Amino acid sequence: MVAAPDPQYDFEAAARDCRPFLLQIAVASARNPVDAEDIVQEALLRGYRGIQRFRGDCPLRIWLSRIVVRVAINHHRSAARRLKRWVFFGDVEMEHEDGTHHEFDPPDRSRSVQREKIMDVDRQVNRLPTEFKVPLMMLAVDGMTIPEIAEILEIPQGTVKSRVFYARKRLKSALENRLERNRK
Amino acid sequence: MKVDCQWLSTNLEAFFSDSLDAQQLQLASEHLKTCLSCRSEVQALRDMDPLVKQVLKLRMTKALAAAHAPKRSAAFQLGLAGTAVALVGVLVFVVMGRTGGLGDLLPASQTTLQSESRPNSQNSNDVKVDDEIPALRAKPDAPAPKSPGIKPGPEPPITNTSPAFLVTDPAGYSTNLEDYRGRVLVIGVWSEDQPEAAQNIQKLYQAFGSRKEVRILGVTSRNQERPAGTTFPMVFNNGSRLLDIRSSDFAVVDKEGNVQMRGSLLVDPNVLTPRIRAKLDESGGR
Repeated sequence: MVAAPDPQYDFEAAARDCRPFLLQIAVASARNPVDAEDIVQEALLRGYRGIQRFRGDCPLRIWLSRIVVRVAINHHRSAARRLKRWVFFGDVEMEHEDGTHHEFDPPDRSRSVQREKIMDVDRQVNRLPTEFKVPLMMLAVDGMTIPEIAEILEIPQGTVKSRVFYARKRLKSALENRLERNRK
Repeated sequence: MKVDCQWLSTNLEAFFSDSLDAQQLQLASEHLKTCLSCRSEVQALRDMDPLVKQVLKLRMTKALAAAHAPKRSAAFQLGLAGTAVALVGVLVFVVMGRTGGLGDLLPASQTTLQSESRPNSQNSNDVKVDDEIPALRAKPDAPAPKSPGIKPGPEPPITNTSPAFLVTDPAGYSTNLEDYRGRVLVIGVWSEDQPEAAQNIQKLYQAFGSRKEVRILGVTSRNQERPAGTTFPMVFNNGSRLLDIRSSDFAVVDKEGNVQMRGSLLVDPNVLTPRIRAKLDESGGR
């Protein structure tokens, strides 16, 4: 049964306002960005049903973002179960593509980074453990701050910083390893 | 305190997590100014951020492209569903071809009728064709063997050989009187067209449901929806004689499984409840 939302929130208007933000959170948390729209839709539905549980101790967009992250992670899990074999072949394919052409070097901010290189970074980001990947990606969302990420993920700010640090470190080392392999 | 490359490498996480104290931060900054290798290490880590921003931008493009192309996805799903239906169709025809054609798809009762209405002559023709199974054809009057795996339509009638009491709960677990041994059981039988009986079972449940040694059961002939406002345990009869309790009646069964009391549920609950209470007290249902 759908619970009647608290009349003090015009949920539809609020949802419309924070939808672009939620889509970014979904893109940051989901394994596959193609699922982001579905994830936001599902999260908004859950948010609408559970609005009575919203205590108002944080902004609505933070509360909805929490739901988005949970839906995104579970979405990946269920998709992973169904498409295990496909993911496996995807990984195999990744090892063989690109050849020796795409070397990693520290980005030059004066020129745009090539799309293919970014796709390679994207794959490496996806290989990071979820608890490292999500804060790192969230920090890339425009206007996102460490306190906000801490609120959404419901972990201390220090933990967010630490996870972002380890995510950067692992990503750097993964990209350097690829560079080494391509040189050989 | 001396801040060198090793110290900074060990405390790099603290440096990035802003958990160094003011003095440590000052010394670390001074070291970074002079040490090229440490500076490039820190810079390389910081340079991950613009890359991740680009990744997010690329992912956003993909997400928006996917969001704006829902028709393609729906058509794809429809195509998949269509393919599945076509495959099932092909499979059905293949199976039919192997098992001997359309005749096999006729209902069992129909084929039985046909074989019974055509006596010896038809079967004698069959004998000529199927010489390899003369034993079966040797007795043309023998009833046609039942086709395996086809269940007769209605449920088997309840006869004297049916179990005395066998019920199934909505989750599919079946229980008999043996499972209630040691408890005094109040069994009420109700049906959809007698909501009053169900309401009275509910009243009994409210009155005696909290007794540890008493179990209240509302039984129906088939699995059906719970009537509004009721909470008593619902079960349905699983082909048993149900202790010969008729619809809208009840029975009290003692701890040894013997029926101690029978009666109608369609009486004033103010009369019914005290009568059952007395019987429960007498049977040790506390």
